[in-house]
Amino acid sequence: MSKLRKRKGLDGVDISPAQWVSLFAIALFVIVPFWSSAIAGFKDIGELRTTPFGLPQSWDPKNFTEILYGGSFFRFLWNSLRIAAVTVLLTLVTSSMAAFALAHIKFFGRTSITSLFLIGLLFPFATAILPLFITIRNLGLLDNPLGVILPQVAFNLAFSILLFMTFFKDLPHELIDAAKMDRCNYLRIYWYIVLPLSLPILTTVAVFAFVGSWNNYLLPLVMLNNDSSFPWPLGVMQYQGQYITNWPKVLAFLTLTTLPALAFFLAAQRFIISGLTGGAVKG
Amino acid sequence: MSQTSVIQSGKRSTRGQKAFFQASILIVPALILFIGLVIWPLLNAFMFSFYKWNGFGPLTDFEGLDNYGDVLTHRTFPTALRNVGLLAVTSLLIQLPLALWAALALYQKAWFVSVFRTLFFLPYVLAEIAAGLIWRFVYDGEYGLVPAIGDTLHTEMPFVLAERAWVMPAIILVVMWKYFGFHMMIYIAGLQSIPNEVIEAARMDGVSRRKIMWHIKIPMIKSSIAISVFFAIVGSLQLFDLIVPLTGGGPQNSSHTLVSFLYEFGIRRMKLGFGGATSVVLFVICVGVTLLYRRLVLARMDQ
Amino acid sequence: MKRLALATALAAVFATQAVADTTIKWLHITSIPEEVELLKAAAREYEAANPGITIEDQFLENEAFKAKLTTLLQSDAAPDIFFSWGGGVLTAQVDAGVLRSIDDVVSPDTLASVGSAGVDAFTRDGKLYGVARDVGEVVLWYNKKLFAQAGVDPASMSDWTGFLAGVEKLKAAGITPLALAGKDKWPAQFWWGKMIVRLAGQDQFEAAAAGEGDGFNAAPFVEAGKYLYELGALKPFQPGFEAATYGDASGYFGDGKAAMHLMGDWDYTVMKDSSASKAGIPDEDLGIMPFPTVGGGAGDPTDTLGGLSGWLFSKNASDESIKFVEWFNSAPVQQRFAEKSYYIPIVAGGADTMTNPYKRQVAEDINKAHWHALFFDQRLGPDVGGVFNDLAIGLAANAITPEDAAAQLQEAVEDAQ
Repeated sequence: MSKLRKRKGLDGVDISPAQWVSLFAIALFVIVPFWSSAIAGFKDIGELRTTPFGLPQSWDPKNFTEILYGGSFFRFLWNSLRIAAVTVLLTLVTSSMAAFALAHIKFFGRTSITSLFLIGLLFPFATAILPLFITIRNLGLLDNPLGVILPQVAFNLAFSILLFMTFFKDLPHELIDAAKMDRCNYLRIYWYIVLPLSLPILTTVAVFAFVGSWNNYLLPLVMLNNDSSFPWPLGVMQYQGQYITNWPKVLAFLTLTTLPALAFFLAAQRFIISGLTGGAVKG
Repeated sequence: MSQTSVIQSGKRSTRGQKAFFQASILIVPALILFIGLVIWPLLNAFMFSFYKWNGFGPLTDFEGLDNYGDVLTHRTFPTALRNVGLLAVTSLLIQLPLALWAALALYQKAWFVSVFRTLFFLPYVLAEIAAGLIWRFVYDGEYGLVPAIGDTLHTEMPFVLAERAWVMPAIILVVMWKYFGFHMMIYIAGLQSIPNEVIEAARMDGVSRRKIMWHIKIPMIKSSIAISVFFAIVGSLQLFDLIVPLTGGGPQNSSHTLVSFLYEFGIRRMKLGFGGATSVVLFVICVGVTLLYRRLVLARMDQ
Repeated sequence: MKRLALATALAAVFATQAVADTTIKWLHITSIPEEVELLKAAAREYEAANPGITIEDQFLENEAFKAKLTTLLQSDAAPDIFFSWGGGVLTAQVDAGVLRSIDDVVSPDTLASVGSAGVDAFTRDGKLYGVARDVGEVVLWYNKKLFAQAGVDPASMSDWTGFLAGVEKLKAAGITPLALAGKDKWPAQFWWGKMIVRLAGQDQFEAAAAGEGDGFNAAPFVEAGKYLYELGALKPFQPGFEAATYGDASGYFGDGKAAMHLMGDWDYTVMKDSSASKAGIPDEDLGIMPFPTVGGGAGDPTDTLGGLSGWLFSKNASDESIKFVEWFNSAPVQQRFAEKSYYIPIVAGGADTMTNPYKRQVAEDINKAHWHALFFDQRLGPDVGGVFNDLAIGLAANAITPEDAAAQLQEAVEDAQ
């Protein structure tokens, strides 16, 4: 980047004109494919294939209305939401606790356990499916949302713990040392000091865990049998025929189901961007 | 002196025990879930790799190391290796710098900034099947954007997903589109944690923006960058979900990644021993990469 | 695994007790809403006539169905009745002991109505495991208008030399001769498959599939590959065919952009649905031409290549579920499906209400066929079948030599033994 004039824009936001131009260029790169997806819902199969980026011949919302009034759409969304919410909660709790212990408590076996968790990142989920099925079946959790939630949390642990550890290591040591000096036990340090300071990373991990759970298809497919408990990726199957798929319907469905995940992200952003208020160290 | 040292060592050992106990409470829930639902399947897959198994019933057909031989000598294996390598390199050289650049611009508080943040994160939120499908439209040789671009430039564009020479660059572009927002968010969370006073102090001292960026902001999120590099490399090695809708591994199996290779030649063909062996090979590669990473990156960071 | 055995034993004990109220779980892959309605209506009709029986139908999409079946059949949630394309997957399921044989319940009338081909397709080691439902055939669809435009007479393409000449003439006229879905790979198997049917015939194919003799390295199979290779060398397919899905290729043909499409009879509907106009090729312009003959093949000219699908029963399926399928598969019920041409029922009289002329022709062809070869990627099982598809598209794209293809196929068969 060449010499950029320092420019205090609106609200004291510090972005140069050259940066703005590039941001808009990237935004275009990002949006164009989405444009195709959003308008796809208004087309027919053949029309979508031959004019994916053009405006639809008619703005008939038939696909969207059929989905919304079909009766099962909101049930699928609700199932997805339930599974995602519990997954996020369990992921945040278990991984932040473990990460804190691994980052700040010196105890026997610390590095081995860290390495153990690391293994979770190095292993493709596709092969785990069959043994996981057998384990969940033995636990009697088949056709139970927990049969989807628990493996999701388990597979989230590796990257969540890593992310948390990275951030916990960067926390001001003085705070924690001061608390230790005051005979604070680690559980209290975790709860009263570390967690409040970690809002940005907590929300970031929450977003990743939510999106991962929201879009997960293979795990629920194998673990759930009753279509009343299907999350939306399984619900989209009804538009996939024996020979061809009704892509306009599928894309309409996907456009509608992306919205909640997006909403979650928007809500979460406020926490990510809350930032530190500083002074905790000085005071 | 000796008395106090005895007392102190006594204290230290109980404190050590207390620490261990508290650490256990914090770690045990995660550990149970992890060992039961991740490690156990991993060990199982390791076991299948020594058998010929189609997924039904018990393991009966012991084959020793045959599956490993089959994997390593499979026609498509070197291609899959090459492809994940390409993905990893381009991720590091293009995707991550892009994400970092975006994060530096967009970590600030302002509503219009958050619009961009949301937009850039959107591809990550979109399910892979949709992303794959939409990019197929973009690349379609008859009706897509590629020929439209070709028309404006007055050149003939190849049918990108059907040409062996173009298919990997095409996939790389989609991967970048989809995942740069993920890395951007990691950097933003890091940048958000930099206390404002540090930046303000530097500004007041008249330090230039560029210097602030290179000498303050980036170093302070060093560990975020390090972890994102790690995720990018391991993520490239594990890429799968985008390949199936985009190319299915084609044309002529030229765009397989290690996991799509595992899925196609192992799972879909009901050769789970082969699949197990592939995942073990992949695992070994990942472990190797991790050790290398630790030595090269983490060691330098501690300086 | 021990626990599984125990659970199975317990389940078997409970299953043998006569239960007054039975629930039948029925897993299908039908997604067309109107067809599903017919299915559900039939279920309700049966329930009304047979109090105490409840039928729960469940749908899974094709790929999801295949992905889930293995795990599903090994759990308590295994459906009583489920759809099957037969072939190697059926063999694997029988070997794994996850199916129930139905000889003890099925009536001789049912066996007769389904026909010997239907019975054979679902028999393994002398035991019957399923009830055949429908047949399909791979045919060479062609667009009469495009042929006229290029001045090509379909009759001139009845043998291989004439066929290649016709392809070249179409190309010269600026028309894409053939539509092919390369990304999905399975459509490519039809070209190699038809050639093998012509050249090797039933006996040699079955012998090779069983791993006898030279297997697929034998001359007829290499020959078959050579013909496909030769065709591919003319570059007769649409641009970018290697990235085209079945929907793309079918729509391309339906839009009138390609002159021919070697595809199953179901393409009649799919071609219309995929086309930009939604009408596809109008009936007066659409024809089926016989697949070109090749000199001196061991195959019988009436041999057909296609599908034969039906319903299988999981290990603990109730007797009632078998009786239900017998009723469902009877001519009167199946005629409702034939009327709308959803598929071609195999049961005698089931196809009587079919009005679609193309489907009628297909039904006749299959009836007269000396050998109705099952799609090779089904017949050979998921492993060798996958290899077959890969090699087929490789031959079509001239990325692999016929000798190499035959060798690799043989290797796969030997590995699977």
